[in-house]
Order: sequence, then C-alpha cells, then structure tokens
Amino acid sequence: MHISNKKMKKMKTYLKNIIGLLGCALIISCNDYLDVQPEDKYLEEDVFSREVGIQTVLNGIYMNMANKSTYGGNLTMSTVEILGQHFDLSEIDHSWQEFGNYNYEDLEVQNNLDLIWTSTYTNLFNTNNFITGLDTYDDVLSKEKKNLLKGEAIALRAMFHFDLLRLFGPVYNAFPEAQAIPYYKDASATLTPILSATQVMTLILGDLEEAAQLLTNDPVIEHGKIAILEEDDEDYSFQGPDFYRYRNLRLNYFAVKALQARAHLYAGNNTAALTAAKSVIEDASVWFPWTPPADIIGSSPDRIFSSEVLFAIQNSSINNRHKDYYVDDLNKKSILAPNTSQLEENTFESNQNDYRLNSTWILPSTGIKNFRTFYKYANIDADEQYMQPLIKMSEMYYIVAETETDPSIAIQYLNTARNNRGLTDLPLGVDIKNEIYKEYRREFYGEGQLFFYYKRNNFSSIPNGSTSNGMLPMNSAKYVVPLPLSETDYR
Amino acid sequence: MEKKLTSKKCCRLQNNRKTLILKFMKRTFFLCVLCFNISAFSFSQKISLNLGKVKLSEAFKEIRSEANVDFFYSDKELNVDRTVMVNYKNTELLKIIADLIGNNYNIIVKDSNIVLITPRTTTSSQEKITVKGKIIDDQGEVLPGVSIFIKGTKLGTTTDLDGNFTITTDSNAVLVISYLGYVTQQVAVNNRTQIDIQLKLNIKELQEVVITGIVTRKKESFTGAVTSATGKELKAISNVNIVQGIKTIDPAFAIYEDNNFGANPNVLPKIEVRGKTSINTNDLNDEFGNNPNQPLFILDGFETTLRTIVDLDMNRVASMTILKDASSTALYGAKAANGVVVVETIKPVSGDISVIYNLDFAVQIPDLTDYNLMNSTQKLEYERLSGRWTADQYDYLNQFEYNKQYNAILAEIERGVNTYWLNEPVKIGTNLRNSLYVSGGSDSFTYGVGVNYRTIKGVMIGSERKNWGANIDLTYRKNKLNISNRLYINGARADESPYGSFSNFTTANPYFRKTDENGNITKFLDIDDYFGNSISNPLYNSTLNSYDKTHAFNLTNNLRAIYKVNNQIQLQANLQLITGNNTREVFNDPENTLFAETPAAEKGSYQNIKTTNFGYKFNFMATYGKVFKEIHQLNANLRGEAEETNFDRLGIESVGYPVGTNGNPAFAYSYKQNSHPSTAISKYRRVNLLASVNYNYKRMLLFDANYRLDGSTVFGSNKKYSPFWSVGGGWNLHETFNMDPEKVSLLKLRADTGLTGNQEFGNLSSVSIYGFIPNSNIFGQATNLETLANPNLDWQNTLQTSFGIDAVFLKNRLSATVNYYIKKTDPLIARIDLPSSTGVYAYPINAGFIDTNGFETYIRFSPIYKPQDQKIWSLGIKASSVKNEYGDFDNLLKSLDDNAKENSSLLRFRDGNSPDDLWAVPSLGIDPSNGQEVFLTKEGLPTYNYDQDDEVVMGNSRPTLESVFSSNLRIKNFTFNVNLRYRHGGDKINTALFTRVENISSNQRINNQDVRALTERWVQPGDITKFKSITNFNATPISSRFIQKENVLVGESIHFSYELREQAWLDKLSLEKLRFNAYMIDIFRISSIETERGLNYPFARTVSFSLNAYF
Repeated sequence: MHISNKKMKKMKTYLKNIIGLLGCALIISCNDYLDVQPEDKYLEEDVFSREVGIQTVLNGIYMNMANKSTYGGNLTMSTVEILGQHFDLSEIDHSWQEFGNYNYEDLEVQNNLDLIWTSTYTNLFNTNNFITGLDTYDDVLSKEKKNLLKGEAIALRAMFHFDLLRLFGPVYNAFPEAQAIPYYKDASATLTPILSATQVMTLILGDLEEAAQLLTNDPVIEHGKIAILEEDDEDYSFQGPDFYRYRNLRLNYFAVKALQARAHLYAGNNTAALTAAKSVIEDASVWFPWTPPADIIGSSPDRIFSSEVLFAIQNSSINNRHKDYYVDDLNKKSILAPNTSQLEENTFESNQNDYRLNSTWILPSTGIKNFRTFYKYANIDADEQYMQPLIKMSEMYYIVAETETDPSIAIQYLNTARNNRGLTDLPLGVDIKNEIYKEYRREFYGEGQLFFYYKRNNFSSIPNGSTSNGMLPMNSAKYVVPLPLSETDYR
Repeated sequence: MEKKLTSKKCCRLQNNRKTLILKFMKRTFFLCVLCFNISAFSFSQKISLNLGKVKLSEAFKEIRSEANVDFFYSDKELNVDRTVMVNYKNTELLKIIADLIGNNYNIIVKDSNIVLITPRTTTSSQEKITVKGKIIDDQGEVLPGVSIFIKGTKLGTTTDLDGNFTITTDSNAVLVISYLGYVTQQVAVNNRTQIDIQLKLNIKELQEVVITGIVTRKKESFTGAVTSATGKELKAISNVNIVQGIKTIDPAFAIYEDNNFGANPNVLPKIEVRGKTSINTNDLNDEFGNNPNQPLFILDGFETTLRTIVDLDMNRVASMTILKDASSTALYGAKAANGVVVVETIKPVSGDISVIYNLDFAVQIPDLTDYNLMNSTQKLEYERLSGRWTADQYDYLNQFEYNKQYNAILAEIERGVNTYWLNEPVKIGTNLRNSLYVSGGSDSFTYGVGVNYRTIKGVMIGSERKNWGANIDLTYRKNKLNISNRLYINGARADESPYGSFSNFTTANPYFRKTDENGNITKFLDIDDYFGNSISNPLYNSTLNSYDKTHAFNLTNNLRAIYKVNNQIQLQANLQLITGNNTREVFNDPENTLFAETPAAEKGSYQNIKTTNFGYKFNFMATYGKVFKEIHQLNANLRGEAEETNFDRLGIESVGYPVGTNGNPAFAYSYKQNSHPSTAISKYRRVNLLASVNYNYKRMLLFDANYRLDGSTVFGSNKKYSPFWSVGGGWNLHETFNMDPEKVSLLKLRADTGLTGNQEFGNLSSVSIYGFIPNSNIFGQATNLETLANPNLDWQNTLQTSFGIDAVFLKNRLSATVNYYIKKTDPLIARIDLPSSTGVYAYPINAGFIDTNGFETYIRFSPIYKPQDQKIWSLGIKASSVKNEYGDFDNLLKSLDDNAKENSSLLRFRDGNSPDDLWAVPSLGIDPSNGQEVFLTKEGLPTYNYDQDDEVVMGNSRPTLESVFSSNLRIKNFTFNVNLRYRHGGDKINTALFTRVENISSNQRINNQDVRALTERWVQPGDITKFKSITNFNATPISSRFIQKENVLVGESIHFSYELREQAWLDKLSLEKLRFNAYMIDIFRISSIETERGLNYPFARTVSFSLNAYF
C-alpha cells in the first residue's frame, strides 16, 4: 500500500468535489430544465393568462355548437327533425329513410347519433375545462366578467345535458327513474356513472339556477341584446370590444330563464315552468319584441323572427347547411322537404294568412320540384350574424299557455302568439292543448323541438311526415335513442 | 583483432536497428511496443579513456569512477587479470565494456548503473542464424505487433501486419514472445530457421472486454448478458450493412420481415431484442418518436438512430456489442428496456501514414419465386368459371355481348398474348461502396480521415439510395490529458421507384398487351375498346415526370476529454452536437391516372416536407478503479448527463400542374385548396445521473450494481423523474475450484435483476394543449382543447431478471453460453378511447403489463482445431426463443381491440394472451355440397354464420424457436463461412390465400390472381376444396383457414474470402495485402407455406463482393 494518507485525502476531496458539482448542477437546474414549453402549441397556461385567451376558449365552445354534428345540423335541422316526422321520406331509397323509421340498428343512423353524443360530450368537456380554468386562473378577469362567463358556461353545460337527456333519455313522464345519461361537471379523463333521468334533471336545474344567479349582472338585462355601452360610463363593467355585446348570440340571462322554463316543463314542474316563462315575457319583451309582419313577408323576409330570438348560435355555414338539406335542386332522394298537402292542409290548416307558411315554404318557380321546399335558412348572411335560433320568445308564450291553470289567461297568451303569426284569436273553451300542439308543429321547423315535444307528451301516435295525413304509432322504442356503442362498449 | 570484432558487432547491432526502423516506417499499421532500451540508459553516454595497456580489473575501476557504474561478475568466469588495451575517444560506454570483455560474455544492465557480466552458456563456436516465423492466436488469426525478444538480451523485433517476424540470433537462443492480453511464451530456437507460434489468450490477465459505450469492463468480471462481435466478424456475414450481421450473430436480435416493403433500400427494418416491451400502435408515439420496441443504438458512446447504423460504412466498424439484460443495460436507464446495441468505430493509430481502401459490390436479384400467378389462358378460364362471361338467365342480349368480348380476348390469347407483368418494374439491383481511411500521427497526436460513398440501386427500377460520408478523427495526448474529437458528416439521397407499388404489377391482367401496335405504352389497357378507360396501364405512370425523393444531411461532432488524475481516478467529459435536415419532395404528374377524375386545375400535386433537427448532449464521468491487497478489485463510476433534442418540420402542398412539367413547384397553379402549411416543433430534454459499482473478490465472486435517476419531459408533469437500478452477481467456478485451464478455461454463473425504462414515445402530453379553430365570428378567434394532459402518466418501466452460464472448454475448442430471462413491463402506456361521454380520445394511460420470458443458447465447437497450421473448422448453433403475455388490461384497451378488428388485424389486447397471438374464428372448412365456409361457434356447433365473437386464439406469429447454424472454415488464406437461419413454429396469415385466392370481389376479377383461385376453389357440388365457391364474391372474413404454421430455412449468408500477400506484383503496387470476399445473402428460402412476399416491393437475393486493400 504505497498510497499515502495525503493522497487518499486528495482523492477523497476529488470525489467529494465531483459529487458536489454534479449534485448541485442537478438540483439547481434540472427541474427548470425539464419544463419544456412546446413552441408550436398553445398551452392551457398561455390561454388562461390573458383575457383575450379566455374569450377564445368560450367562443370555441359556441363555435363547436355550430358544427353540423350537433346544433349546427343534426340537433336542429336534420336528424332530430326527421325523428319528429317533419319531412317526407317516402321517395324510394331516401338517404334519411332509416332515420324516419327509427331504425336505431342501422349503421348510418348509429353513426349519426353517435356523432351527436360524442361531439356534445366533447364540447361539454371543453366547457367543464373552461369552468375549471376560470377558477384556476382567478386573477385574470374582473369578478363581473368572470361571473358572466362562468354563468354562460354553466348554463351551456346544463343545456347540452338537457338536449342529450331529451334525445337519449327515457320518456320522462312515464319512466323518470330509468337510466338516462352521465352528467359531467369535471374536465378529467374519468368516467362518471349513468344516472337516472330525474337525477340528471336535478343536476340540470341546479346548474341553470346557479347560472341564473351568476348572470344577474348580464348587460342584456339593462342594455338589451346588442348592449351598446355608454362610452363615458366608466363604471360599466363590460366595456371593450364586441365580446360582451350581441347577447342574443350567447346564452344570456333571459335565455337561461327560458331554458329553465323549458326544462321545468319537461320535468313536469309546471308551476316553476310558468314562473320562469312569465318572467322572461315580462322582463325581456322590451329587448326581444315580436317581429313586425312587414319584416316577415317583405322582399327579404325575416323567416327566423330574429328580434324574438332569445338565443341563437352564429352559424357561418348556415347557407351550406341549407344547401345540404333543403335547397330545391337537391336530389329527391336526399332533400328534406315536407309532404306539401300535409304541410298546407294538415299543419297550417290551409290558412294562407299564417306568416310562416308562404314566407318559409316556397314552391320553386323553376318547376324543379313540384312541392314546397324549406326556405327558413336560405340567404341568412353576415348582416344577420348568421343567426340560427335555438330559443325564441314564442316558446315562452306556449309554455305559459300550457301551464297556466286559468284557461282565460292561458288563451290570452296563446292568442298573443297567434296574432303575431298572422292568426286570429281563438275563443275561450277551445282544446288549448291541441292548439299548442298545432303551434309546435308550425313554429319550430328546423329548430329541433318538435320531437322532444312529442316525447315529452309521450303521444302514442304522431303525424307521419311521409304521408299527407297518416298517423304513425309511437312507443318508447322509437322515442328513446339507445346510448351509442362508443359509450356502452367501453364502460 | 578483438577490436575489429567488437566494432563489427556494434555495427551489426546498429544495422539491425536500422532495418527495424525501416521496417517500422514501411509497415505502419500498428503500434510497435518494442523499446530500444539500450539507447535509453546512461550507458549511452560517451566517454574518452586513454590508459594504454592495463589489467581488465584496472580498466573496470577507471570506468567505475568515470561513469559511475558498478560491475558484477564472477572471478571464476571472467579473468580480470587479463591485460587489455584501453584507448577510446568519445566512445559509448557499453561499447567499451563489450570491447574489453570480448565476445564470450553477455552484458546485462540492471537499474541504471549496474552491469552484470555473465559468460555465454554455449561454447564459443556459436553460429548466427536468421529465424523466420509467424505468430497467430488461438483462432488462427495472425497477430501483428507481437514483441519477440532474444532471451537475456535487449535484442528483439515485432511481427508485421501478417504476423511474420524475422530475427537474427544464436542458433541455441531462446525467444521470448509477448503480446498484450496473451500468455507470454518462451521458445528455444534449436537451430530452426522457421518457427510458427500460437499465442494463447491470457484469460486471467485480460480476457475480452465488454464495451458498454459508457465504460469498458473486463468480461470476466462482468455479470451481464452481452453478445459481441468484431467488425471483422460482422463483415464475414455480409458487406451490405451491419444490421444484417448483427441479426446472424445473435438471434435474440430479431428483424421483422416486412412483407410490404421487401428489399426497399429506403425502408428501415423493424427490430426487437428479447421480445416486446410496448404496445405497438401507430398512434402511441408522436411523429418524432421511434418504434417503442426498438433497441437503443449507441455509436462511439453516443445515442444514434437506426438510419445511421444502417447507413454506416461497415469497414469503419471496430466492434459491436448487444447489451441485453439489466446489469448491462441499466447504464442506459430510461432508454434501455429494449436492449442496447453499442457500435464502436476504428480509432486512428499512430505511425506513418496508412491507407486502407475498401470496395464493396453487391448484386441484388429480385426474388419473384413466391408469386404464383395465372397466365393469360388460366386467367380467362378463371373469369369464365367465376361467371364473368355469363349473363343472367334469359338475358340473351347481354350474353351475346359477353360472348363477343370473351372471344375477342380468347383471340388475343391465341395470338400469343401472355404478358408477364412482374418482370416489368424490376431489374438486377446493385450496391456499390467505396471507402478510404487514412490514419497516422505521432504518439501525442493521431489523426484519421475517412470518406465513403455508396450507391444502392434497388431491385425496382428507379428505387435508389445514395449515401456519402466523411469523418475526421483527431486525438491529442499529453501527460495525463487525452482529448479527442470525432466529426462525422454524412448525407443521403433516396429515390422511390416511379413504378409505384409492386402490387400494381402483380394484379395486372396477363391477357393485355403492354404496348400498342407501335410499341407505345398506352394509358389504359384494352382489347377492341371493350374496356374503355377502366383499367390503367401500370407502366404508364412510370413514363411521366413524377418523383419521390428525399435529401438528408447530418453532422455530428463528438468531443471527448479524459484526464487521468492518478492510477485510480479518471475524469471524462463528452460533448456531442448534432444537426441535420431532411427534405422530402413528392411530385405526381398531372397525367397520372390518379387524377383521372380531378378537375383540370387540380391535376398534379407537389408536396415538400422539410425536417430539421438540432441536439446536444453533455456528460461528465468520474471513474475510480483500484485493487486492494490483490484480492479486492473495485471499479466505480459516477456520471451525469443532460441532453436536448429539437425537431422542426414544415410541409406544404401545391396542386394543379400543366401537362409535361418537370415538377418544379413554380409551375403550380395554387396551393392545395383549404390547406395550410403543416408544422411541428418539438423539444425533448432529458437528464440523468448514474452511479455504478463493480467489485470482484479474487476474480471468483463478482458483483455489479447500477443506479440511475432519469428525468424527462416525455411523461406526466407530476412524474418527471424515475429511478432505474440493477444488481448482478457472478461466480467464476473455474477460478474458485482451480480448474485445469487446459480443460476448463472459463466457467461462470451469473444472475442479475434490474429496472429499465422506455422513452421512445416522443412527447406525450404532460400539459394540456389548445388549438385555434380555423374560423372566426363576431366574438373573434376561438380555441379548442386539443390534448388533455395526463400529469400522472407513469413511466413505462421493465423489470428484468436474467440468469446465465458462460463456459469455455478444451482450450477454446468448445464454448457455450446459455441465458434465461424474465421481463415484465408494468405499467404499459397506451393511448385509448375512453367511453365517448368523457369527451376524451387517444388519451395516454397506464394500463396492464407484458410478461416476456425466453432463453438464448450459443454453442460453438471446432472439430478441426489446428491454429498452428491455420486450419480451423468451427460449427455453431445459436438459438433463441421468446414468449410474451399481456395482463391486467381488464376492459381498458377495448378501443384498441376494436380498432384492430376494424382494420382486420388479428392481434388483440387481451389479458392472458400474447401480443403475437392471432385471433380468428375457427373454420371447419368448405362444405362440399354448396361451397360455403363452415365456422365453429363458441358452443362447438357448426354454422355458416360468421360471428366475430366466436374468435379464439388460432396461432402465434412469433416462432417458437429462432436459430442460426453456422460453419466457419479457415485454411490458411482461405475462409468459408455459412450461416443458415431456421425458424420453427411461427404462425402466419397467408395473405395470398386471403386476398388473391379468396376475397376476390366481382370487380376485382379483372385483376390477376393466384393460380389457386382457379385450381383450388369449389366449383360444383361434391368438390372437396379448401376454398369456397369460385362464384362467391362476398367478403370472406379471416378465419383459421388462412392461418398457417410456418417453418422456414433461409440461406442467410454464405461467405468466401481469400487473402493475398507476399506476392511480387503486390509489392510493385506497394500493396501490403489484398483480400477478396464473396457473399451470397438470403440466397435461398425454403418455407412450409406458399404465400406472396414483398407486396409493394419485392424481396431480393444478394450476391456481393468486396475487395480490401492495405497500403
């Protein structure tokens, strides 16, 4: 052993230094070193650190709604409307025929319904992630703004679940305890259980209530749907660009109240539905007045009754949707158009005065089709903000008429609505339910509400869209869309 | 007189030195370890002495005082009273002494001032003779640079490059032959003039070493399982690329034959070492990730890509080592779960300039024997039987038309039309590589410069790959510091064949002519206008200006500094910089039949994708090694490393080209409608800290331990770090029980266990990512959540345990290694679709595990073993077997399962089954009464209805045994090696039966098919066939009928070589040595099943040659 102690010591110092050096370097730098920010991607942290970023996320949710797979198509114009027998599919090999037959085993039908399910839940995921983000990055927005955006998001969450419940859930008034859908309040990759219809409804109503609370400062209440602000009013919380304006293109306070009315009615809570509907009529009529007849029958008719729309999505592809589904030069095998005699004689009772009939249903002057085709979504352009209505004032009048226990008040509300559609007053004592039924059939073409109206009332038969006056027997098997395989298979 | 003699002797000594030096200068391939010690002593000092006539003892006395040296001698032997003449002027001391004592005594110098004088043992009548000889090792390989000393003197020489030496010595002298790592031998000359000597490896001192890329260990004290080979051994298998050689050397290194891409030189092989550790789905890794089952490749101490390894100039390879188990791979921690392949290149050696030139040439012959297609007569007959020319009953009008067409085709056939399309897109491929390496330098500074250029012309016409490379290696040594820098620059150009997929030719109908009557290639195939524009001529697209080319350029610089603090401690730092780019351009000519239906303004397309990368790695290592009391040997290493890799990609696409353009994007009408540039930028960072200890006790008991902490950006943000470790032990039985080294020179037991990881995933989402929706509204822009982070994603780690025995018997005539291992990867990472209501798709989760176990056996025996005569014949068998099993998935991976089903893959992700299991519904064959397939239900009942739920495991695609038999024969300068691969017991889906015999839709009848679609399908009741009715065009689902057991024997490599040296004409060319090699690669293949191979690109047989010249 020739190595002296000195050498050993020296060696030990060397080793110590080396370990120390490496250790220090590692501890100080590694954690930072491993925090790599991708340059070609937009990280959650970046998004939520600025107001404009937060706005883009919420706007993304609305924009996704306008996709053909959900509100921009399947949930309003095509699939759900076909389930409501609005269109004539009697042409041989009509491409939507199996939908009209409620053939939920058909692959194409399954794919379409799966698309509604998955895109809505994906958007729900975005919504929940947005809500979590608002709470996590708390200091970016003012409290007023945060409440407004959070209120909208929570209301959207309720609305998405509500529409899924109405489509995939049981016939509510017959089987309220039946298994319906899962309800998601978190943005995480964890599965939540499938709840019963009443459980889902409770959560929907809870969310709507919370949303309404958060939206009590919604500028729509004070300033109306365009909410043009006072430049010099420095106390105004929502100054800035258009983001806090155009409240009718957002799920605003009144739209939330209207949704409450719609949901309570579906749940059978007639009193609550009545209260909500009445409050909307009382408070919102000033901002959402009836559309004047001149606008409806003029040279560029307002077929969507835009002034009455409480909530619309901005669907910049709406003209393309019109071309996809309704335009008169479409092949007979794919066009969605009603049976003209049913439309004229049955639905509109041959009443040419109804603003909705001649403005919206036009026999092509070219003679390319020998039946009326649907024009509601034709020629909607940027001037109209590509509006695609989802909730309208008229529905509130129908809800009051349906839920009001005093028939004289009920008929009064229904008549107000009728008057504004070019129809005369109905005398007291008519079958008011039947009249409401007729209104739902006339009013909501291309808005996806009729099927849910039938399902809510659990009618045992409904008018068959492919005939001029035939009826189609209905049952739970037709009303209840089965959960898609993409859900059930992986549970 | 005496004087004269002595001066003569001195002269001769000097002459000897001169010739040695000359020789040394001439042959400069190796380090000469011979030292000319004489000149180094103080005796080289020159003195002047003038005493006149004195007694010898007096003379000694004077010299002692003058030069400060002591003389030792026996008075009995040396007569010091003798009178001598002392009259020297400025003469070397040693010369003076030699002169004084005369010729009969030896002078031995001890320390620096003692002179031992002994009498020569023999009589004075000694003869000087010239002894020639050759030194070889126990493999019969010549050993250059071996030292040969004459015992008792400082005289000696070294062997030249061919192991030859020449020395002039006394006829009864004893030669001492020593060489680093070999047992030193003494051989008495005994008047022989030719002495050939075989040196034995000194196992005790320095056996083979294990190069792990991080540290170099003695194999004897290593507890891991490794396979290594020298560059020479690899080149004795194939001269095409080293991956081919590695697969033959170790069957645990498995290359998966890709039935689609055959011998396409631009497609990389799929490789696994010791089975799978990952779920291999395409969407798992991001675009810059690698195959997650691929081993890690290390080139000269740094990680590299498979592409670099495949393109590497084989002549530069010094050694290759496969690290397989925990003890050997734990050094690479997070990247090591699939094993590590370490490749070292040749380092420059000092000396005068040396030049090595290699020429490799290979010929590839397309292997079309697997295709068994119909000729035109058979084709028409098939069409007739399948009802193509039969109209509905009573439809006489159509029947009349059909008859006309049929007869027109028949007339063509009778005219002799029988086009063999397969020959059209193929040719004999070539592979030519030139490489040159120049090295030299002094002891303190060495340099090496190499260039190589290779052209591969694939067997499909127009399919090419050109590689070029240059490297500059510089090393500087001074005292304790050693700095080396290695720079590699390489580039490639790859072209895909304009003929497109080979399948266009295998499906082309033989009753069509290739060209019209003028010999022009037509756009469509037709007979008498019956077919119109419905069938494209597969040759047509090749006449257009389309191209698909890739340019690549890479630069790598490795800088290393080693500082030896003392004999125990060494510090080392490495810095690697890599940069490169890759551009792929694809142009489809507007006239391509692909665009038949496209509007004119969009005909033709051009795509350009450019990827650039930049990365650095820095590591620092301290090594400590010491032997305590000569029984405890300890080695320890501590190492830290940081690395960063950046990738950047930009791609654009334009459409609409005028007819006849050459594909210059300037001619495009516009960018592709609604497209936008595709980009990706990614950055990975990793850090690690490694500590490793190796201890052995008296070389009997061995112990290895490694610990590595890895940090990475790849996995969840809450799981940035993961530790890896290994512990291994070994027991050298031959040392412990003092076995006779003649019989047992090595017998070692070893076992180890440890945890390694897999990082070949690219960046998995550790943060949530938003993306802009390409649209806006009144509220402005909008974003969407694109990727949801899984901050809790765990690393995918593999626990492996390995046992092994290494043995060498009978002086290396018999050697054997047996390994057994168990690997468990838990948890796995998979991207799955959760139930759709979660709104989450392709979400990376941890799920389940894979269990792998297997064994490897390597046995070599030499029936003929005469290294002295350079006659050795060795036989070897290497075999490997692997089993994999999944577990713990529950229902989590059902979405992957369903995807697999949808893509008609037979692989499933199910607990208790192997990843290689083939799932299918059992078939009972074809019902002879109606030609329908009968399936077996789960309940065991026959049915005509196919139900996927009835599927069971019908086979396993992994062979039960993968083995290589080898025979190596060496007789003098001639060697002959054969390697045959035998694969036993794997199951395979016979795609030819599935797609070309059945599953022919009524539209696909126009395509050519396998002959069996005509001969072996059911035609009428009573036919007992394997294939269903010839008129049934419904899709056939995959059933057990298409799964077949495959046993295959492949002539993987046959190699001859012949070496030329000592030829007059070589000298004229100033050539030292010239070696010729010839290879046959994959020259034959005998399989138990008949199926088509090389669907998009044919396979090839290779015959190659190489020439190595040493100047």
